[in-house]
Amino acid sequence: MDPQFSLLTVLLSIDFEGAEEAVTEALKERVLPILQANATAVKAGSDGSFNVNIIGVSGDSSSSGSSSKDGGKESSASASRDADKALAPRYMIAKKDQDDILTRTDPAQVSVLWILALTAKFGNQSADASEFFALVNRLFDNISGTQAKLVPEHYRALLYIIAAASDAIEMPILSLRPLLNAALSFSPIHDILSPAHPLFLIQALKAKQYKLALQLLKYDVDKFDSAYGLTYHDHLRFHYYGAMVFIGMKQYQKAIEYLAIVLCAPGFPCSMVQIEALKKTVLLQLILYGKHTLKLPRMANDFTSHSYRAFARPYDHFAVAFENGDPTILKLVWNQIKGIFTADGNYGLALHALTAFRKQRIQKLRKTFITVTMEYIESKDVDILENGPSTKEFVLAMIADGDLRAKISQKSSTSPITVIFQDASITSSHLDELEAKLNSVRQLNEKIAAADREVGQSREFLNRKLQSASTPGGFLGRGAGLEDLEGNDDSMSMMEL
Amino acid sequence: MSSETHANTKVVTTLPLFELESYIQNYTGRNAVDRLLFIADRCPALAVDALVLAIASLKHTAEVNRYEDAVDRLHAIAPHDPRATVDAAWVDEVTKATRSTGDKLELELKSYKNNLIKESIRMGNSELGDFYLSIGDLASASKFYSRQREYCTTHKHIEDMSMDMIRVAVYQQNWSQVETAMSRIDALPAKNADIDPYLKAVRGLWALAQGNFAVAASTFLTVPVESLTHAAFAAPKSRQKATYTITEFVTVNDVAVIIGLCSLASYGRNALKDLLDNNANCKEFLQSEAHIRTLLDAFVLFDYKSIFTALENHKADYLLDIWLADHVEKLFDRIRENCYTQYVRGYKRGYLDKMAARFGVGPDQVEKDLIALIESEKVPVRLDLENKYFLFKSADERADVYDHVMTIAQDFEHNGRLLLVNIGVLRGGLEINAKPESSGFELKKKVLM
Repeated sequence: MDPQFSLLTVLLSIDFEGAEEAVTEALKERVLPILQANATAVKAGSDGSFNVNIIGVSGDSSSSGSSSKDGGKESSASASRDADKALAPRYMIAKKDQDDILTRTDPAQVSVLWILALTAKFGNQSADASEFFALVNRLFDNISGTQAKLVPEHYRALLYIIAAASDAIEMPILSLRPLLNAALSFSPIHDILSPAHPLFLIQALKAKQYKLALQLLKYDVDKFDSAYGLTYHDHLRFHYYGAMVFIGMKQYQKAIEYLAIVLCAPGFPCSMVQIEALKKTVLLQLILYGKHTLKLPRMANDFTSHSYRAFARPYDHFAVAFENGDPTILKLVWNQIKGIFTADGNYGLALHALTAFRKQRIQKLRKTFITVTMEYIESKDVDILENGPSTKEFVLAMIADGDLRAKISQKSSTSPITVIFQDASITSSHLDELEAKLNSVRQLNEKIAAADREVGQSREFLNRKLQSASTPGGFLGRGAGLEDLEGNDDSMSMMEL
Repeated sequence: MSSETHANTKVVTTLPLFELESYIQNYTGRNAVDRLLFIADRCPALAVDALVLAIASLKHTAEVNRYEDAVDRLHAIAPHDPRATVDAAWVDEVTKATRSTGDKLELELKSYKNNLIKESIRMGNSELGDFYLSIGDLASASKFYSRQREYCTTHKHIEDMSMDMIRVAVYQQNWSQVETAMSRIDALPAKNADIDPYLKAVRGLWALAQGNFAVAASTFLTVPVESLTHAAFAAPKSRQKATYTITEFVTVNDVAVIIGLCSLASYGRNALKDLLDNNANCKEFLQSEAHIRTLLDAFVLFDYKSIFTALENHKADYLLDIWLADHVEKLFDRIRENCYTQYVRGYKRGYLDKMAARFGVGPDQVEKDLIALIESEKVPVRLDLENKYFLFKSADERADVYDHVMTIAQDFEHNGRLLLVNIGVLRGGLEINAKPESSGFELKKKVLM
């Protein structure tokens, strides 16, 4: 902290010039206490002449970097652009004060001012990237999540500026550090969705930094608040991109779980993200289980699930052919619809599915045989694309990858090669796994019970109960697991509590 | 049953063990003709004899169409046979007679209808049904029988009508109609105990037609043998003119074969043993078909080779049986499966060459069959193709329980997470919404102001 600078002076001289009165009031109300709280940590300097002018800017012209660059691949991009425009900050720190803040204050203590200053400074013009990222990193390495929540519009805008700036110089990797810090600092146990979450995943996917992305994804997010400028897009995109990261890391089980969250998202109508999620789910289930049984949990919205199924018909055909197990049919279907896979950007995953088909055919043999000749495996092995490795190499690779518990043996160099399948046995590591699983289930159970209690005591729930008691049958399920939870406009009242 | 129902004719080239003339003497009426025409259809070697016998029988009926049809077919395969010419005089005479009877009955029915006498209308319809049945027009017969329904006033009437319909439907192999009629009888508060064996036999045929061999066997086992052997018992006088006997469709020998094959295909060894030792009805049935008794005994005694030899020997007989024909291959497959399963069960480790010798087939065949059976999860063994033996799959219960618990835990976690996320989404106001601008800051602004 610059000893020259007295925060107290800043407080007194903050001037919300030209901003809408209501907004000004709100901002004052929220920001000032923070500054006051931190003032004790500030040494008063001799020269306290320091002014922070907050000026109002019109909604359209201020559209900072956030709206122009939306890295989202999915076709809902245009809708989200509109949404972003609505979220652009309406007031900023005057230019002459920006540098003062950035050079003379500690971002850890007045994160709020930093966010305001950075958005104002870099919102409209392209700046020197190295200077920008140096400042941004300084802020986000030390940012206070509580303060960031006080200026959600600016915070969100800044995050988008970061993403856009890294995209502009085609180095998405630069944005990963600040975005990850932003996401992780948002709440102490990382269970709240922040605007940084989906952005970070997009940038990580662009930079192909899957491992880094897992640092965020190891925390499950289950709290959401539109007050932080979030829309359903953020929630859907976070989980969709999360699934893509898991796919990249070959953690298919987890990917399916994330996609299921997208598929079961409440509301109406269905989103394009959900259609894409369904397509990926079909392929993943084929890879993992060899069959596609889309059994959505009870809380899935029937109506929307019907409508998004209609968009993924070719995938259904592929799944049917896959399950059927006849290679000629599968090949026929593949040739017909591989163009669709390419167009959807699922070609790689579909190729994985074909390999999985080949693997599963060989894996199935272990149910029938203890030992089997390589010749027999060759007679059963089918390489749909006819460009993969030979059966022998393929089996060897499977054994090496742990996809097939078997050993290869040959009595003499001229005798036929045989594959000996080996049985699994329960080891202590299995038991540890089991113990860990039970623990996590227990924790989850407690969480659900807590959520249930919370919902049961919420004003909204009680209001609903009262309403439904007075008008029987006025309660149409909208696909939520807890039907009493459907918030519309009332949901805001809950947030005020 | 009309021969048209067997469009996908499978030709039987080997001669059956039975002698056609004595075989057909066991059957009477429509059933005999049906069987003869069926044999003529399937077995070229017996076609001429069968058609000649059929024509002779048909001349005792009023079924002019089928008569002409049979003669035509005989003419096609034996053009110079003197019996392959239509007896025009007989045809004319019968046609005339039936037409006048038909007209008379229709006229009567019309007058009944004009007079609105319920009972007479019912009788009229019933008689017309009988009439069409006698001239071989099953569709019309069924139509008139079913028209009785709204004029039925007593339970007895409903029972009679349903029995008539069942008979026609069985001839037509129209099982859905059989089902309807059966349920109508079942719904009656009290029914004539005499028709019970008849209904059971029809149920058995129905199960057989659906390929449900276990049910077919167990159903036929509940049919008392006496109902098939003693005409008096088997023919309850349900109505003055009509009687219902199971022998319209099957003889006691047929039932014995059906019971034997179906139980071999679907029962385990202990169940069969129990059947042979303790089921008096079954024993009596088997007395009439010694070879079936031998088959079952062989199964109980693990003598698989002789089972397959005997089955092959009798295959032509089965293929020419009107009820069994379409199921023979499936039955044989099931019997083979059953034998394999039975054999394999006794071993922890068994060698394929020994097994092949036991079954009287080549080792390659055994290997192929076993692979197919394992793949369809019918036998719990695994093969060692290198050393040519099979090993009983030892159930690793711990591994199973572990897998099971992990799956449950995973499902629970999965669903629990979904639930939590959706609660969060709804409370946070992040439902999917057609108007994106109405979420996020817009909402927040409302609160701020």
